[in-house]
Amino acid sequence: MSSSQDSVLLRIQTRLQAFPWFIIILTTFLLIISLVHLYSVDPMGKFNDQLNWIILGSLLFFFVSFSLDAWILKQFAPVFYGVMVLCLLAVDILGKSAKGAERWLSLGPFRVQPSEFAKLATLIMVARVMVDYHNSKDLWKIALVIIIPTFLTWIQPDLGTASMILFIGVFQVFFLPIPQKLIIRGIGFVLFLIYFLWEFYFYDYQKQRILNFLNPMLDPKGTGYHSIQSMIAVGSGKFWGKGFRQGTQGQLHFLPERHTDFIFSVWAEEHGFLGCLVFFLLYGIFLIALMAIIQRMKDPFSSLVTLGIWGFFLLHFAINIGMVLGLFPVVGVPLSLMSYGGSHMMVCMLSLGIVVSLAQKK
Amino acid sequence: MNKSKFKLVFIFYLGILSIFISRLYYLQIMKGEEFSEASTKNRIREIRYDAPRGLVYDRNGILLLSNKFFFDLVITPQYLRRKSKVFHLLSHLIDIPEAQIEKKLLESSKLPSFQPHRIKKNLSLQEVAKIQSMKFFLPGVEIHHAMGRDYRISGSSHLLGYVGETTEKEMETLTSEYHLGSPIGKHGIERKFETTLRGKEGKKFFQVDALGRLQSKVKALFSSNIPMESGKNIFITIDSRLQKTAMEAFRGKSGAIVVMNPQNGEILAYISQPTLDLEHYQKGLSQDEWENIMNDPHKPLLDKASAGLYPPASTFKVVTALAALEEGLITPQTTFPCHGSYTLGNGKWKCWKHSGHGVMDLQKAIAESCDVYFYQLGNLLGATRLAKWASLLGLGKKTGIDLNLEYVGIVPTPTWKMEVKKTGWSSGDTINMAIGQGFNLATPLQILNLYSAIGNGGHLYHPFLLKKEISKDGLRIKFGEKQLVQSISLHPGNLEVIQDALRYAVDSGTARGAAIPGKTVSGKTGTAQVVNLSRFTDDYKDHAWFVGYSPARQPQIAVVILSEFDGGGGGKVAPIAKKIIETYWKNKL
Repeated sequence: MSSSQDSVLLRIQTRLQAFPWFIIILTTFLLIISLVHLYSVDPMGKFNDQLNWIILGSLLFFFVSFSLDAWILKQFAPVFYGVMVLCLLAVDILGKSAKGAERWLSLGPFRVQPSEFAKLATLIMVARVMVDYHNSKDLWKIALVIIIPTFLTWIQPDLGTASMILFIGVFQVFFLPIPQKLIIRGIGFVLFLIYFLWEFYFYDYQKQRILNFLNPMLDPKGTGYHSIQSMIAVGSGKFWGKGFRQGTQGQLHFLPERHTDFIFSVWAEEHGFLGCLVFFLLYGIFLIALMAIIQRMKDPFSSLVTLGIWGFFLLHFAINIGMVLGLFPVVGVPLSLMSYGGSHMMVCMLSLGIVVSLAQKK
Repeated sequence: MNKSKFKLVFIFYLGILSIFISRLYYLQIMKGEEFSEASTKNRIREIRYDAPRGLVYDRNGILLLSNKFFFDLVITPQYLRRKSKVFHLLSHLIDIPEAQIEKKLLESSKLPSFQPHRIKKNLSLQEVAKIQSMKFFLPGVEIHHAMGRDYRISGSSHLLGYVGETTEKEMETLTSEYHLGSPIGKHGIERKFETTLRGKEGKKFFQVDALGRLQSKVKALFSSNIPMESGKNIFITIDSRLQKTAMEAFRGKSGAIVVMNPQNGEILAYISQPTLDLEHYQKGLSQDEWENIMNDPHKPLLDKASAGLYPPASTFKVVTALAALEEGLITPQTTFPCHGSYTLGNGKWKCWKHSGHGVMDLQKAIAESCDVYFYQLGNLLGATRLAKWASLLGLGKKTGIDLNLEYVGIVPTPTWKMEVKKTGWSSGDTINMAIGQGFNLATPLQILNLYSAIGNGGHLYHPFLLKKEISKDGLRIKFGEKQLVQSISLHPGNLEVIQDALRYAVDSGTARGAAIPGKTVSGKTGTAQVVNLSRFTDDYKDHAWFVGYSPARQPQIAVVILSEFDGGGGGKVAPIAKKIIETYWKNKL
């Protein structure tokens, strides 16, 4: 008993020595910013929710980072993946019976968004399949792993999350030594498919919807409203910003989804160009620190998982900010560690816990 | 891991970052000002306050037009609670169906919710009291004061005009100071002096959220409120005592009376009957009331003084006489016999006095209004020369009063007839023209102007209404000025002959009814035949004219009266002129 206790202590001690404190500090920093701005926009309910999620997420983070090992993760990847696929199916079926778009699954007092967890489960599963990659004939396995959750999320319908699952997968596959010929053929096929669908499959109204989606300015009262209000918020911040809690677009509710997907608009409106540069710097250091961890990893599975997680953070950052700045259609992709939302926060903290646990040398 | 692929990913990341930074630079630095404005537009709403319009006094400082408050019931949706209970209570208090309240709110649902929506106009004082006593049970319901006009003189709707709401069509030509529905003077003094009377509306700015609710938690700067400025007060040339006298004397009749100072064109009284009840009009007319007005054969909406067209009839004879004298065709001593009719070619024209006037010289002919005498002058003159003199004396042209719609009338010529009637001119047309019948059409104001010119020595003035305009601080005064159209050059003696004849007409001729003991009056009556013109088959009576001035030399007051369907010649309306001129002299003393 005492020897097992000793071994746990020893283990914690060795792990603490190799702990990437830098990541923790940066994460804490970003989370504080998130909380402060949530407080600014909605001091009551949403702030408390987010605080609870962050505390819960931190516990999860520490538990995972101290207890998880690469081999356990690799072993349980298919189970995690399988459970997530089943959850997605459950959401699809229950959501249909409820006659409407449904992304949530109730687990007792919690309402969980399985598609968020599917992002992580899929990237871990992809990493595992990639480890066993021998030649391009194994590609279909990876493709299947990616496409199943993508499809199940897409029909919920949750286009934003579905595309995130797909993009993260593609990002990981990019690191496989795939022959150039195959890549070219693949791209060619996708282009042809798009052309075919556009010319022969879609009706005019569907095409119009897609065009509106790609260029929100075509429909300023409808799909474009979010984009335009967000650009007004960002632009009116000018160089210095309007000041903390003085952003009229956010404070007076002109900005929709200001606590979730458009939290960065609030930041840009209240802190201006300068504040945005500071934020980019912070997020940039965070991403580079993660990248540095990957490069020190020896185990291919660990580095592939961490790479996927790196892609996860980068792609959420890129698409969310693109959306806020009116460069990308509004698809409902949160800004990791910043946006309000329990499931996404849990997934972020879990991912970071995994990274930290994998970073320890055995 | 593949090092080169890491590099690629890193470059991809840097690429995205630089795109974002340049986008931020574009949005926040280059377009920052524009987006700032857009965000201000989002959150700032303005409420406009109408300024009180300027007051209008008559020439002696008697108030004709001022302002008063009306009470409107308004609901401010932001503060409205327990909707159905409030509506139910309201419907009992002010007699308005609940459904209508709901409908009114829905109609203006595009307005921000902090803005009061008008539910009912012109509440009575009892209704106001009822609402106030129940105020506790009516959250969001308020009584608003609306500014309206207080009419201190009745029966003068064509002179005063009224204030209405700016229409979409008017917006096209107006400056940005006007908005759809903002008050604007329509017709009469209210329109003519709109820019002076209007003042400047005030503005209050509010900050609202995306749902239009008033919000003050963000203290961002916005422009300060703009106070309203009331309109400037004016004194008009009208003498309200003359206006009232004329109105009373003319009660129940249809037509126009205008009184003017012939020495400068100042309008002293201006009446067109029937009139609108402005007080009632301001409160809003019902559909039935509107239809009654529109279908009234006496046309209460028409300003008959400047847009009523009538054959000038015998009042035109002075034009014929002056033309014949000036063209040297006759002298004052030239005589023609009148046997009751005049024959030219196959035609035969009767004198109004079928037994004939006997031998007539010019003065007698004017005083007795002998038609046969003027038939002969017309024949001597011809249509073209007659038309030339009519135009010289201001007929066929606008007088330029610019009060309401003004018509120019018709001075017929052979070319005019060819163009409009598509037939040639006959000598009979000239004969009719010479006594002011036929195609001749003129407004009472034109006839008044013509006689003023005869009385004052040949000077034609633009009639005007502004006595003085007081600056906002009350210190500076701008006076209205007379404006000469033209002075007609005449042989010295000729005008005096006509003036004497007109005096003779009042002293012992057809216009005897206008004579005032102790004062000299000159004038002329006329009877405009309606039979062949009338659209009203049940009313064949003729229009009666009187036009004249006093005193006979250097006149100070000129009066024109046209009474529609009054029959019986100018003798009937001359006493009205007498009353007006008497009042003038009485006040003068």
